[in-house]
Amino acid sequence: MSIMIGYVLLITFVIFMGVIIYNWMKGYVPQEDLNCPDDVSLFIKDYDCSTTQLNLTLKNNGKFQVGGYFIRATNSPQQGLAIIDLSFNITTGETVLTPTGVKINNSLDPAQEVTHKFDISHVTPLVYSIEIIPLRWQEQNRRKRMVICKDAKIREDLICG
Amino acid sequence: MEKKKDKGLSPVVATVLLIVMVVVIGLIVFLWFRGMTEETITKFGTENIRFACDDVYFEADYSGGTLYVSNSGNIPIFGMELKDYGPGSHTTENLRDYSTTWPDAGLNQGGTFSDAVPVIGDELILVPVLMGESDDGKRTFVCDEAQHGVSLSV
Repeated sequence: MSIMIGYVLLITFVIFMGVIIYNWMKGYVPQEDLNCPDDVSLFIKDYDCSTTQLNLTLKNNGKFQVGGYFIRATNSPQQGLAIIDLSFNITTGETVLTPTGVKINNSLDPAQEVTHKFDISHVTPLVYSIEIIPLRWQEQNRRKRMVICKDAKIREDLICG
Repeated sequence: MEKKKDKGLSPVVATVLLIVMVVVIGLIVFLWFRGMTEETITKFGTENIRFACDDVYFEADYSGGTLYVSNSGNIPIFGMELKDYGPGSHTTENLRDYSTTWPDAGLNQGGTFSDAVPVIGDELILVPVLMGESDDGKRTFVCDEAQHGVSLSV
């Protein structure tokens, strides 16, 4: 066999091995996480709560745009975790996300406020507290993905009635 | 005197035989080694599902005989293993099989779950189960209990 054929075989073999090892190893390398920036913050500026309706004024007091939020309620002080979803009870025409969440139309820029109204007549006996987790849409691999800002979660006890 | 005839393989045949033997032995070693390593399950394309477990974030509470779970992270939770630790023993149930209210598609981002769960022991550990892709199709993966399990006192 000529030296030339030997070299060709060697290089082909090395490339082939390289492709196999690359495909095998790439599953063991962590990919870049999609994280919410630290300075995302929403706060409940005002609320007005009756037995049937909750009006919330939310203010973006962070440094980044907020695209939406999850909103959940508790109906007793014993309930440690808010699990009553209020997203589908919004009455101010915002887009409701599937399976849950409220999308703020045109997003909420820093220092901006928005007032949303919710029908809470199905929550018995009363809404005791609410929990809000901001959401953002961030780009990853040329795709917009929803990111949950779990560290910016807010919880507030309400007095409804 | 009659000259002895040279017998044996030609260099070309010998080289071909050598290459064939190396390839066959390589394949055997590769298949043997592959059987010893765990099959990779991926999520979101090529990411190993073990790394997705690091990004799982959920909250849980147990009060008044009811278990509450809320997925506040960016990773959908397909199922949840529920370990009920009692004195000297523990039982394991999957909430998907145990409860009729666990969503079929899993607990997506922002999703919540609550159901009455009778507990015998004094500690509950919830371990998330994720759905990923493997060469054989969709497969579930139970995250590591020590790293990703959430413990609740009952």
